[in-house]
Amino acid sequence: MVVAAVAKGNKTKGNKADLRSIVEHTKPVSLSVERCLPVLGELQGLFPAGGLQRGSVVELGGGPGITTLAMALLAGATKTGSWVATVGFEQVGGFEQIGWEAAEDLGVNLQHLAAVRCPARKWPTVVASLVESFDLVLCGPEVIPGAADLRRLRTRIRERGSVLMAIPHGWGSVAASGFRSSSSKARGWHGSDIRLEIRECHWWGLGNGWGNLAERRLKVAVDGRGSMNRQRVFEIDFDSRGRIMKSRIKNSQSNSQSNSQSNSQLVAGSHLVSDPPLVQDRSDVPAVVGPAGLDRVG
Amino acid sequence: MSRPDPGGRPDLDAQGDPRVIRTLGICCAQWSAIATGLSWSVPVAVLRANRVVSANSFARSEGIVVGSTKREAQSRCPMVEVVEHDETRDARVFESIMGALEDVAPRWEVTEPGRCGVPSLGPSRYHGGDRPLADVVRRRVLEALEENFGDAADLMGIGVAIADGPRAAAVVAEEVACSEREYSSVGRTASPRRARGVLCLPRCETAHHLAPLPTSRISAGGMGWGKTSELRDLVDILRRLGLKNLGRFAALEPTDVLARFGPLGRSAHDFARGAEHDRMVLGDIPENFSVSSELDPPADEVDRAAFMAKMLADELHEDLSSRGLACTRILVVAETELGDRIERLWRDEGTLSPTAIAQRARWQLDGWLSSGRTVSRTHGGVSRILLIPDQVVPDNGRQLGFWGERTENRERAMKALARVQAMLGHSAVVVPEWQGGRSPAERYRPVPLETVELDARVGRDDTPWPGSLPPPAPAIVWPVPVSVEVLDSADGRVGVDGRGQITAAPEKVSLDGRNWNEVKSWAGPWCTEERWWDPEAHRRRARIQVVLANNVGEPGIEAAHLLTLESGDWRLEASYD
Repeated sequence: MVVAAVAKGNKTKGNKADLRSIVEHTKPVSLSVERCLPVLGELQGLFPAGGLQRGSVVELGGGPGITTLAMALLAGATKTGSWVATVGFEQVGGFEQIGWEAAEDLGVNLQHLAAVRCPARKWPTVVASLVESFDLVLCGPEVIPGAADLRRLRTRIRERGSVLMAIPHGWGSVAASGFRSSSSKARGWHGSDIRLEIRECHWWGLGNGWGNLAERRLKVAVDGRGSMNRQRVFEIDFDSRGRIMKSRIKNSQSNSQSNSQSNSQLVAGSHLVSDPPLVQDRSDVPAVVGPAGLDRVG
Repeated sequence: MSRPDPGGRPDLDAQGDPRVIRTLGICCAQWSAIATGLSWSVPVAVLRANRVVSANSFARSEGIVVGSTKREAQSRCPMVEVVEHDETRDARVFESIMGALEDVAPRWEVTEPGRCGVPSLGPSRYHGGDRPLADVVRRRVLEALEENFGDAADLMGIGVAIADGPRAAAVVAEEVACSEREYSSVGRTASPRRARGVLCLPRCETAHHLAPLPTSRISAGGMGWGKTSELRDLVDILRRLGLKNLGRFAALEPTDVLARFGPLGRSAHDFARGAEHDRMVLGDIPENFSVSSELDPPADEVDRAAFMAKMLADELHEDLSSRGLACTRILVVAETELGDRIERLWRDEGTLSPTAIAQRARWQLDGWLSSGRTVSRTHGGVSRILLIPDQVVPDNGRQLGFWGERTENRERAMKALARVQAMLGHSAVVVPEWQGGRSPAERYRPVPLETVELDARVGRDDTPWPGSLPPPAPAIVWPVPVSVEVLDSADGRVGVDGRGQITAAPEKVSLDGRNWNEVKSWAGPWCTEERWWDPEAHRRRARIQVVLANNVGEPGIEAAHLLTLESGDWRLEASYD
């Protein structure tokens, strides 16, 4: 039947739809897990599919901690053999550079990482050829997202089943000035599938003239499209060596009131170690949400 | 392929196996130190990943040994000139030496910069014997060195040796090069076989000469073996079997060695008994595997030519590996627009990978296009590049990894990166390599993709580094530190006094010169004083970590930074983003 349809399809354009449906039916079946790039076990709860869904665009935003979160998300994929490319982090003149040591501490296998230095106007072509072959491409703050380029890129990413992760444009200078400037500098990537926004960042271990930076807690809001469109807030704890200790869900509604409430709670909490372990909160972590286990390659 | 055992065939033994390749080997000891071009009146140490890989005689006389750390080297000899290792420089300078040797004998094989060899049977007949040939070669090398580096050539250890087999010649040449200075100081009289920096072993005496050397010489670098880790394993097994020197290893039955240690052990055994002969070359190479490409317009700059060579190397490798073959010797040929043709033969027993081929082609082109000009051997730009596999063997040493380095992912990634390099130039793609250091920016360094063998990168060394900051490491390192302002509560500038104490607690920090951020907490200063003995390189720095509150007043957002005070100016060195 297939052959017949193909032969027919070659002759007439009208049968293209038939052919397409045959392609749909004869595609190999794959588990939803296989359509995901793995992330570190501690971060699996952030994604309904338990990993970075292939063919998606992940956008990072918010305040300090973006680079660390980005690197933490790379870690799982590089550990299982995927190659990762970073673009737009270091200009030829040398502006910003990823702290590779920090990345390694977070679990990134640096043997599977390549950094591309690319002038701003060439990034669409460069990123387009990178997503062809790399499982994961991280766009740094030098990359300026244009709407048309993004559209083209999205189609290609979906076709190839890779994942594009983006740090807001201009984050480098914002990071240097200290904080999120929601108003101007950091330009977001519109139309991403998942958006992770850093709401809070806390440091422990530093006093007034004593100690050194040690533990850290990031509060990350996850939002997205489709199965992801319910905003949830997670807390991710890092230990004093810069590794991820654990993450837990904080609340499942996007409610600015409850946010400010938890802010004050967190500020009151004096030290990470003295914080009560929020074990009961872990029951809120959805084990596996998202599509059914068996699906077809999209 | 079976070959007669010389031990069992005394008649053959007496005149030597005709298939054994008599080889002349040249070894320039500590070539990397020579290639820096620095004066020999100062101690020079060349470092790679914080380990000394090469040091000149002055530095060695001060107690610097190869393999020691930068810190050790500097503590033994504070005025040592420390230079970062650069293989391209090594190869470029060596090319000028090779140019001087070309008319002594054809078909020189370079195993690595600083070491080369040539089958000596024909040339020695032409020059009237082994000894005259070796003398001519040594004189030429010294002349070329003198031309490049002035009259210090005498101090550089240059060894020339003729022995049975290319590896044996390389080992003997290295031995001669290292003993050259003591030899001259003892002032022995020259014998017909041995003179200063020259040693010619007659046929069949190689095994005898090698016998007392330790087995570890098998895995010594620079002999063109490749496969270093397998060889190290082999040496380890031999040591545990009680075979401590090459003589005892050579005494084993060749068939037993082959049965126990496989082809690699067999070829090591051949080396030990001075019976290296041409490996089984597949007939006359059944097909023409050579690849070539025209460059239009001709390339004057190395980058473009080298990129073409890289693509050719990939093509060649794919072609060979699809037939289960690998290349152990390759001829790199470049033709210029004015009709000059220059070529060089590279040998590596470890079967040349595409990166290795591309790297060698790049070194060659670099040597021809930059320094070759001054010797006026080439004119015009490179218009055609040819890669000819000169020796092809069945590839039995490569296995696609399950989780290992050579996976499908990697092959795909390399292809994409090659496309990106075609768009942006060769230096656009970098990979991190561990270097180590006190400041965050020094710890990993970006190296161009082409200049490293990906699997042979130095891994992170987790031994403590004195003077470095405690973890966590910063997520952003600013290569060009940004100027910042640090003020105390009375709006005075915060400084660090001579005793390493901070003058006042920092109250607010401006990272961009306009907005002020309140300091929530801070720690430090941690002072480092580097190279205090050297007025030029001396650096005195104090670092503090600060956690800043948001000036907009959003609670819960804290940014941590690493600030550095150097010669009165505060700079943002890294951010814990």
